[in-house]
Amino acid sequence: MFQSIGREQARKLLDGGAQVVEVLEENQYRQAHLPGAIHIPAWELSRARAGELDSSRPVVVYCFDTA
Amino acid sequence: MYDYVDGKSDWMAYGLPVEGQSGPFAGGVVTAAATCRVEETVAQVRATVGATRDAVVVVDATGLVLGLLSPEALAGPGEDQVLDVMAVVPSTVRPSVEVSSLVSSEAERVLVTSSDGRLIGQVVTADLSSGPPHDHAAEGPPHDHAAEDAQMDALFEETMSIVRERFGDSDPSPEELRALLRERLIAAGRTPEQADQFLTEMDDDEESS
Repeated sequence: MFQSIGREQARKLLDGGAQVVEVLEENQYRQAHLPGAIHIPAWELSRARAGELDSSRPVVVYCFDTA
Repeated sequence: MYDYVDGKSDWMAYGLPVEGQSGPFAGGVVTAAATCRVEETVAQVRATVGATRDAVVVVDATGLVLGLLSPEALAGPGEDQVLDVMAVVPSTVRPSVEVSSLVSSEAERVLVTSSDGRLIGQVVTADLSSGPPHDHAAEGPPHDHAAEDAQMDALFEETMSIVRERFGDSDPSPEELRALLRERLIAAGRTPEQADQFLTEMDDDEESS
């Protein structure tokens, strides 16, 4: 289950060592991404790719905007 | 799992750090801007900001940009209320704007605000380093992709006509076709390395299509 968060909570989670995942296209990721973000495109979200994440740490997922 | 619903655009609109190939962004080159409040008089603002020749940004208690007090207004009668002499609705940019887009700005300074209009700072356009002038002449003529595409189409057609001539109604194997195309590329002036690179790119295009 996802919990919706805002910018301040995202900052706190990042500062606390959370993992960050950008789900946009490769080109958008390369242009700019949140510090330390890893890239898993939305269409590649799967159990296998989820296995790349550390299950003991929080994960923050983001897109471009609310659209 | 957390979903940062406002996403990257929100993050960048607040000038927070990002990594990647774009930038630098306005949020990374902002400097502090002198501010005042609407309820102040010009004399009070002068006493606060000193002998500045820059415009002073009028903000509310939360930092929301309300207007701009020009140097002329700042030099005017001390009893004037800021509210009465300020210019309203100054133009602003977000911190996610690339610095390169501000270099050619006619404004001496550009206000940078968050997406909800709160002042982050200002970018003094004269301070932006645009680097040495780009020498287009040193690059040679611009790369003409249309001409190259037309040339490759012609080369491919020529190759296919040779294929028809050599193989008749039987289809050549991919290896034979590849070898023939490589031969034609080299005959057309490509080096063997360029020909191999072209064929590799062609394979990649086919795989991705």
